[in-house]
Amino acid sequence: MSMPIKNRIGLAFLILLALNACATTSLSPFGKEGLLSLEEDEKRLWIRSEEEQKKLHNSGYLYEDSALLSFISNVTERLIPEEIKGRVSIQTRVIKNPHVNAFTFPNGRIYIHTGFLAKMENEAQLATVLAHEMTHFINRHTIQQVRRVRGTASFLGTLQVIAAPAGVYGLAPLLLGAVGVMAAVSGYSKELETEADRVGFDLLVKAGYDPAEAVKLIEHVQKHAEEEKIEEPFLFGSHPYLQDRKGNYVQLLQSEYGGKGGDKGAERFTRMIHPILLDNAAMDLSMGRFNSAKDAIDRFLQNEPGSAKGHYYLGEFHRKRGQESDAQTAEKLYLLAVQHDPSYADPHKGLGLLYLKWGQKEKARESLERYLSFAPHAEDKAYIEQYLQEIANR
Amino acid sequence: MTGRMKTLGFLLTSLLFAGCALVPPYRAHSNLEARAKGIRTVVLLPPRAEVFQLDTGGTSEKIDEWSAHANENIAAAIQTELQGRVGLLLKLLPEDSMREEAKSNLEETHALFDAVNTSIILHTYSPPSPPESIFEEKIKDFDYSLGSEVKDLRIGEADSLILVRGVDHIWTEGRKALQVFGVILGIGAGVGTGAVVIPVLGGGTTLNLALIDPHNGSILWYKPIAKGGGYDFRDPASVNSLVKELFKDFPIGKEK
Amino acid sequence: MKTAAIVSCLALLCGCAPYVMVGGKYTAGPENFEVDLPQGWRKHELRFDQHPASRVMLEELNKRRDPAGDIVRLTRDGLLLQQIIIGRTGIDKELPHTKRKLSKGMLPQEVAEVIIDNIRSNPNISNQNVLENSPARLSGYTGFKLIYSYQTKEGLRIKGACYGAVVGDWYYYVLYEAPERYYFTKDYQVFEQVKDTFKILKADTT
Repeated sequence: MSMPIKNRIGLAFLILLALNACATTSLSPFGKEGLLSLEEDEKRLWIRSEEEQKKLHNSGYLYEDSALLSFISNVTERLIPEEIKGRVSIQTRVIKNPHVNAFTFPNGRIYIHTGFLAKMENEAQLATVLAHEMTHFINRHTIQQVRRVRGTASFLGTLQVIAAPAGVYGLAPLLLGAVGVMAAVSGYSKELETEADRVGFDLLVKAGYDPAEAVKLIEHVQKHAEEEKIEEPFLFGSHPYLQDRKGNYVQLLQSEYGGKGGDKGAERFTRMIHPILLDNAAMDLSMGRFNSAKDAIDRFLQNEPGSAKGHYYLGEFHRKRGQESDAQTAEKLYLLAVQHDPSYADPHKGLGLLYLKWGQKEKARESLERYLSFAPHAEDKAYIEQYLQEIANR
Repeated sequence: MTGRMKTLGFLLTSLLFAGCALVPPYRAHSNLEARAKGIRTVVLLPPRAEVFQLDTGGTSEKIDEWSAHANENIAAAIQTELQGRVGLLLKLLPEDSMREEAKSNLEETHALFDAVNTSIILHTYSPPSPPESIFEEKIKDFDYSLGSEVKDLRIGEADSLILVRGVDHIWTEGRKALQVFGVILGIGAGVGTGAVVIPVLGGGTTLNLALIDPHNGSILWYKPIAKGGGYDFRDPASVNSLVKELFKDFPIGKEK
Repeated sequence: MKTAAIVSCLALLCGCAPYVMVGGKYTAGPENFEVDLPQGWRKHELRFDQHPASRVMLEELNKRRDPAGDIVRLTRDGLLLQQIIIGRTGIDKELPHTKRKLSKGMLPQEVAEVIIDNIRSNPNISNQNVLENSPARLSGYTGFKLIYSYQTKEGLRIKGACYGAVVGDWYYYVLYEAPERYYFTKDYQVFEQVKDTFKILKADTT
């Protein structure tokens, strides 16, 4: 007599549970034994991570400013707990991307976007993010998360490819493979993120930074996203994620770290990220994220009010945004840029193109000729020469 | 780790023998006969096989040790196969000692091969493609290339290159049990709830070979094979059997 | 096999095959252009290409560039190996990777700048390079010519050439993309010939 259906299903469940021998999900943080404690599946994850990082490093997306990288490296070093210093390697690199995000690979490589750096106000806020990300590495969260996903996947065999860069995560298809996407987009469980907050806070305070800056950073990023109605596709910029971080940070401040105080490092931070502001603004302008671009340009000009480049970029913001009276404002800013540095070529082009569109032929000719005299090998020389020819023919 | 294009290529190859094919399983360039006469030396590019573990939950993970082992087995099997042919000298391109430019060249060759491989299967093999997607002129005049840059992958003045790619899936015990109970679960769930449950199990083995003219990158001869199960890249005997099938109809060198 | 052959013939006869052999004058009246299609090439018909494998391939291609405005898509060896594309989009249409918009009064250089910004802001590709950006004429209208390259996630280097022009409320383009290695050069002259035959039928249509 055949087994009833429900008994067969029950038996199948039991057999599958027995056969689905998954490794334990909880692991001790890296300690004095360093990398000797790596488990087999963890070693494979590191190999996958190295493959993804190689692609990232060859992508043209890394921000290579040695002074900035050295500064961020020093902040990273300052946060590493004494017991693992020299036993594991933690490095931070910067990615050219205007979105707010930071993420960690399981092999101790932290990546932070220029867009996130451009939103920060001081070194303590940078340290907050690095400490949080560092904890994901030290406490081996990626392998724990991977094991959790494996262990709870549907027994009906819904296909999940853990090691293929399939771009199936919807919001933000990336160059990253599955490991990086997990870190940068889908994130870890609430439990692991809370652990990263708590342990990260501890690292922050031990390194002498002011923990109150953690809450200020989140509030600043949230305010920016709400005011500008920006949809941040990465995890660290998403509203629910920021709310959770803020909640945890407020609780930690109230319960353990209230009134601690510490180093903010505003001045040295501002000096180091100054060049990033315009580079990031250029990316924001390309993407049409105009308000975000303007914030960065305004901040740049606040620190360097006599910058011709800053005024030119502000002019470009107005030109590219193209709203009513933006063209007139752009003209004023290009003229200001020329005033600060008459030999800076680009504002002359900006003026020339405006005058051309306004039908002011003589002014257009003067500005465009001036542009070519300062940039004789300009990439857009063919266009400018055509405009000059057209003016001459009219 | 497979990219989407590599995954697509594997999927297409694995669907190859869903139906019976009346055309030869290989494709040959119109210049093959003329070129084949002059081929004495073959350089085997480092085989690229990936072995994945498929577990109960459907999670697929590349196992590096198994993949390295698979590459060794495939290289050894091809060596045996070609050494059994008269008048042919086989050289192995050693990946470890390659210069950076050569490594970069090899990566770009493989990246282009992914696109070419998918195009060949999509437009010259039915199944898996529907007949309306077949380009008859590409079967009649089989003409695909990996670019003349491949000449820098030669050793000396070798007159041909062989590129081999493979994918294998090894099921865990849990997944094998799932196969046994899969049909039961499907029927059970259907009876109980009225829902139709289709367990997606996946897996399989594919092996693709391209014989390349290094002077211009033309693919002179191409053959894909696909198996639903029962093969294991980690097992030399299993690999030998697959490679023997792969080299059936191989146009270079007479078998001893 | 016999059934498959019959189905194939029927599909070709009714014009509902995913790839149709073309050649000669092609007129897209509603889209306001005509062009000579090269002999021996195939035109891809998306609405008839429902095979799962094709869908995966097309999803990958769509990550590289948005096909929403494409009217004619031609290939000889397969879309992954070369595509000649002719299309148009309304100038008020949102671009997929930038919030910047085209507008009627824009100089061709500014139109090219927006197209470049869209390519540069695409997160699915990397190592984007503009190799040439110069004024050009498309169907007699002032426009631009771009040559660019980028790398796919799989590490394949793709090269593209695009002629574009804003005419009335529309941005018209004739575009060619192929792997930089071997395939771009292979049919580049065919692309230039197609572009030379491209003709906008009426100026300033809405």
